[in-house]
Amino acid sequence: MQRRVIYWAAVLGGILISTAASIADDQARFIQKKEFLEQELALAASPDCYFICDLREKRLVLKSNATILRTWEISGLRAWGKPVPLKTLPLVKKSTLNPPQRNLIKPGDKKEEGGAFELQALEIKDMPTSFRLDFEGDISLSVSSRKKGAWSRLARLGRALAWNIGMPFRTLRLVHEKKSQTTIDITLGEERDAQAVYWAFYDGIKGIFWYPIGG
Amino acid sequence: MALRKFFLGALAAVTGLFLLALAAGYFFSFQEIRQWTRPSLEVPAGREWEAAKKKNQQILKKMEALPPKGIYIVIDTGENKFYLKKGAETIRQGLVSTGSGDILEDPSGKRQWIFDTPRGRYTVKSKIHKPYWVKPDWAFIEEGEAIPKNLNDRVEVGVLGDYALGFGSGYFIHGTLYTRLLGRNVTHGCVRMGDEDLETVYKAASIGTKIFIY
Repeated sequence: MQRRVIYWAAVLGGILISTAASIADDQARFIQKKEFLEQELALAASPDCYFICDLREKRLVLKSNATILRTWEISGLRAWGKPVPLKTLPLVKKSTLNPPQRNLIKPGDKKEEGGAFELQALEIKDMPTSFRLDFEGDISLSVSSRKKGAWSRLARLGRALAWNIGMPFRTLRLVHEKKSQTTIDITLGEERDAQAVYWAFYDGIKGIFWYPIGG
Repeated sequence: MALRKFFLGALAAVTGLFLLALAAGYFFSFQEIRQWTRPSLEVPAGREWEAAKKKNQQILKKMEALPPKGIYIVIDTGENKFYLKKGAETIRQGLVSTGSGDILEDPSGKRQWIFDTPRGRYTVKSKIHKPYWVKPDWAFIEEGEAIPKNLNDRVEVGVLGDYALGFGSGYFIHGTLYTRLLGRNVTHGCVRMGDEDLETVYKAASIGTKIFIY
């Protein structure tokens, strides 16, 4: 009889604890969503374009005025370091091996000569397919694309090694320096997608990295 | 033999240290990674919780009210494409030419122009039938010509097509004589459109229609 009472008390206690935990989770999720919406509303009220990097849905969305302009599906994602803060972050620097250069027009230098047209312009095809975007608060987003071929496979292997061995050592250095950083590495499906992200993410563009509490 | 033992011992020690450091790195990293799933959030209680719920509803309503309800224009300067849209539906799409991104410097060194199409949210501010072009200073500098003092010497007729939609700061969506360059970045910042597309967009848009450029 006593055993049965203890058993049912334990079951009841378990149910109560899990219910309380579930309610707390729902509340935390709700508060997080509210904070996200507040941040997005402030961005949407401005006339500038902004981005939402949804790390759970693996989606990079370019928006303006709460209207979706373009979406890129992320085919590969990994992150290292402290969690991204739920706040609006401006892009402070774009880094790549060969940054695209603007052409300087020479006055009086006609583009059209003898009917042949030589286009000197900065176009999407000139954008890099692998680059890093640095955001305020020591947050960096590395972007690359899934290229085919042996060299690309080798490059991917190199990146994987650098990630899995380099990152722990970097963490040690940061712990020693009492600093923290966040590194997010994403892979997009096509080269053109990576180029389009480089094109669309102009210096100073603001956005939110969104990682909702699961459930 | 002793030397061999020494090298093997040294190798084992270096490998051990490396693995130890790697393990320590992973240990500290996991401490940070764990925080991703449990962010520190202040959950209000009682009345504050009710107020938070109410505020959330208000934000959602505001967000829903923001996107345009009627016709709007989207311009992708990277792909040089335009989309005439109503809600999620695309009514028409086609090629455009947008800013070349080139830089022109005034020989005097006092002025510089960057020929980018501006990005962000704009509205149609003017609608012009049979527009003419009042050439700005840069057009003369680019061609190596003297800047005229007379306004009439700046006017060029028939180069902007049949229609133009102004969206501020001297930028327009207009027609072009260079239709073969649609789909390329060639302009000084304006958006060039093919004749038929331009007519459709001109007729569909009204003053205040939103234009999104990215």
